[in-house]
Amino acid sequence: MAAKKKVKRAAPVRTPKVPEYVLWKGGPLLLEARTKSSEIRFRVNGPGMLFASVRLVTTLDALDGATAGALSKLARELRCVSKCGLNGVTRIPVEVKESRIGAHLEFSLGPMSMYQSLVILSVKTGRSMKEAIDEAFGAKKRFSALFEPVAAEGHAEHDHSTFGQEPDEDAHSAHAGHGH
Amino acid sequence: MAIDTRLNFNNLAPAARDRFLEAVLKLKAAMVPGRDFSVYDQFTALHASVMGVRAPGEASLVNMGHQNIGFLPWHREFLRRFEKALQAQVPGVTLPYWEWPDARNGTSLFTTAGMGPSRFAQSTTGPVTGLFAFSKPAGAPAWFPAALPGWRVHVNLRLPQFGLNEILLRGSSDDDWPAAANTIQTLENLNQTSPTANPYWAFWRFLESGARMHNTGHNVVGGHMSNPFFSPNDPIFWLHHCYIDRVWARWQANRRAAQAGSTFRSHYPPASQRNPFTLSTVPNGHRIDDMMWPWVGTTPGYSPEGASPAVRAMLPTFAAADVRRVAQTMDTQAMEGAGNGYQYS
Repeated sequence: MAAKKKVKRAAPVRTPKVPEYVLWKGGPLLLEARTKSSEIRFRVNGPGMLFASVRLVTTLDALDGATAGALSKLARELRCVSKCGLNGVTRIPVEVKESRIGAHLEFSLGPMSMYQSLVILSVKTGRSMKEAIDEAFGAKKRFSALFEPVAAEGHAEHDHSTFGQEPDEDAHSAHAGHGH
Repeated sequence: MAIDTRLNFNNLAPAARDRFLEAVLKLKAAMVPGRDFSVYDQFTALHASVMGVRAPGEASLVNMGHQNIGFLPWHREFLRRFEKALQAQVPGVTLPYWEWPDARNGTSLFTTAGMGPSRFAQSTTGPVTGLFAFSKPAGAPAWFPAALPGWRVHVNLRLPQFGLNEILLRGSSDDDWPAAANTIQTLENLNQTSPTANPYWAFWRFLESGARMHNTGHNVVGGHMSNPFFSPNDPIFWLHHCYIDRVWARWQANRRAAQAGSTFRSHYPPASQRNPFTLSTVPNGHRIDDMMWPWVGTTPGYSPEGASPAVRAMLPTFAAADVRRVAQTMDTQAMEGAGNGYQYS
């Protein structure tokens, strides 16, 4: 009697679940960036009003790999769009911002709204966000890479005539108060 | 003494559906004497004006209707007043709600015989068709108001810099909608608390700004609905907010049932409680015993300074005795005193 041949079944292909982060008052201020999916969705409440932008920050020193050049390479590999009921689909540039203390990646959140828009960050090649980040930095040590939402300034939601315009310094100082 | 009952739009019999639509169109046709805008337009102007109100005790303008805990009470009162205005046009009508989980294209809500096609998941906005089209539709029902040439956005209630003009628009590329039915059920039973935060805080935050909730709904409909100031230009606004109000009413009932002996007040933050998300004090208009602009009677110190003069000129005048406080909105079945109000099916 011939022995039964064990048939090895191929493991089912699982598409990683797309992470969805809600940016809202009191929400987390650090969000995992090294995900297994090639896309991350941000549900942004008050783009341009409550939240101005999102930064990518890491625990890496520049000498460990997080150089401005590595960030530029990563920025080129990422695509960012906003889906907004007022403006349709808007392409958002992913930029390297430099300051006297170093460099980081940053993207704005698209057209201003008091309601909510959907911002989608994805890797152009379709590989995972973790792979893209890890390759760009080439770090030899363990590290974290996290998205940090940045609060907006001003209070354009109070006045429809200034809605959609850049807030000026005076308007900001006049409306500092309850954090609403 | 009467309790109105609000129903799911999709469950309305055709005759009841038509009475509601007739009332909305008649309100849009009901011009304010001597002016070029309608009673319906006044509601839209009011919504725009609540975004920036000067209020006693506040150094900065207050958004009395959004972004804080008064979001639900203010809109409950706003909707009830709109419902009363509809009843003045067609006696007995009540506001129906847009049941998010079962209302995409294909249901009676978003049809030309209903509120007009949704235009979900479109890359661009486009004109609303059906009863709320720019021009009175061919073959319009006999009850379509003769004085109404079509659904036209008033000149003061547009935002041309965003392409929001006279023709009512819908359409959004955000098609991630609706929330699953069990998400709503979870929300209606939410009891997330801490020693310094009434459970209402978490509930309100989730309902106003969670994924696939109030804010998302405005974005998903798109066009005029996605503009925070003038979103009531699109009559789907009322059905969207009616569902939000229903979720709150059901949450209130669940919390009261879960906590024997509790009152409606028990399930709203006490006036002294700070915002647990920002640690800021709660602004005037949002605390339980605060008056809600514009229903502040003759109390001095309130003014919608954020609104343009043209929009302010459209606001209705309220009686000196017309004062409404947050606390008065807690019980839907006693909105106008015991046994006078509304309930949900």
